[in-house]
Amino acid sequence: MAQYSTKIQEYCKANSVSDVNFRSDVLLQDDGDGVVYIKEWNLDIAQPTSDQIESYETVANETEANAVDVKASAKAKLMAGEALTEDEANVMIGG
Amino acid sequence: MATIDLGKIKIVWRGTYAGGTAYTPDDAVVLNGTSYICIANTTGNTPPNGTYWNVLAQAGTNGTDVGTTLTTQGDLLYRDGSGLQRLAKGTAGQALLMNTAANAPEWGAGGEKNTPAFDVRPSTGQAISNNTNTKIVFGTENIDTDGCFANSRFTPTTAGYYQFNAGSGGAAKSGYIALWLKKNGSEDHYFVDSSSHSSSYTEQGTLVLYLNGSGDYVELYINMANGRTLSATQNGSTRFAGYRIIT
Repeated sequence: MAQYSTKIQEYCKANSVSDVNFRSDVLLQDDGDGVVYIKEWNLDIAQPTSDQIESYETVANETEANAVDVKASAKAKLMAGEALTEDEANVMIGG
Repeated sequence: MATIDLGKIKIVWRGTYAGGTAYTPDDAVVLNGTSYICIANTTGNTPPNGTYWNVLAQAGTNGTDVGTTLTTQGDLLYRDGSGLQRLAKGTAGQALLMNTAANAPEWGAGGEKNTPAFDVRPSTGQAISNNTNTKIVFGTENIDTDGCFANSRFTPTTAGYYQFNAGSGGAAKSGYIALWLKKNGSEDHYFVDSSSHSSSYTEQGTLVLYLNGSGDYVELYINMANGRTLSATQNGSTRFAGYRIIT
C-alpha cells in the first residue's frame, strides 16, 4: 500500500501543484492509531476527499517503486563517481 | 570589766521564715525561694516587708523539668511564649518545619522531590508514515512516580516547570526528522528539527515547559520524510522522560 503522502503528492501533481511541503502546505497526522489523515490543508487547490486520495493508490505505488530504482541507480553512480540526475540527487537527500 | 555589744558578727541562718518566731537584725530566712536578712526586730511581719527585711537573694523563675517534659525517644524540646515545650517525635520521612506563624517548629512533609517523573518507551514497534505528524505510542513505563502518564500522555497533577528529554534514532535515513512535544494538543515545542542523516543517527533533545498541574498535558510527536518503524526494545533509541524541577 502506498504512503498517504505519496498519494497526496500525486493528487497535487494532477492538479498542477508539483511541489508539496508537508511541513507547511499539507499537514498529515497520525494520532498513534496508524490512521493517517489530513490535519491541515493550506494549498490553493481543493482538499481531496478520501475517495479521491485512494484513487491515486496505483500511481503512487509506481512512483514509490520508481523512487527505489532511482535510489539504487544514484547509489551506483555515486560509487562509480558519475554525475547524478536531479531525480537521483533528490532521492538521496530526501527532497 | 566593761563589755561592748558588737552585735552579730555574721549572718545567723534561721531557716524557713515562721510567723511566730522573733527575729533580730542579721537573722536570715528563706521564704518561697527568696532569702531575706532581717534589718529590725520583728515578729509576724512576713518578708518581703521592707521595714524589717531586705532581700539577700531573689528567687529565679521556675524552670521546666526537662526530664518530665520529654517523655518519648525522639522528642524534641523547644521554647514557646511561656517556657519549654515538647514536640513529639515525627514519623519516618518527615522534616522539621516552622509553623505558619513562624514561632514554633512542627513536623511536615520531607524535602521536595523531582516528582512527578516518568520514563517510558514503546512496547511495540510503531510504523511511522512518511511526512506525517505522528503521536508516538508509549506502552512501557519504566518510571511513573505519580501515575501521571497514561495513554502516551503525561498529565502531571503538580504545577511547575518540567524538564523533558526525548530521543529517537535508527539507521541511515534520508530526509528531515522532527521530534517535538505537543502541549494540550496544539502547542508545538521542538526537540529536534533536522535534515538528512547519511549514517545511523540518534536525535535527542531537552526542553523545559510549565504545566499547570490541573489539566495541562504533553505528548511526543515525530515526523520523518521517510518513515520507519520505531524500535520497541529495552535499549531502543526511542525514549521519553520528564520530571518536575524544584524551583
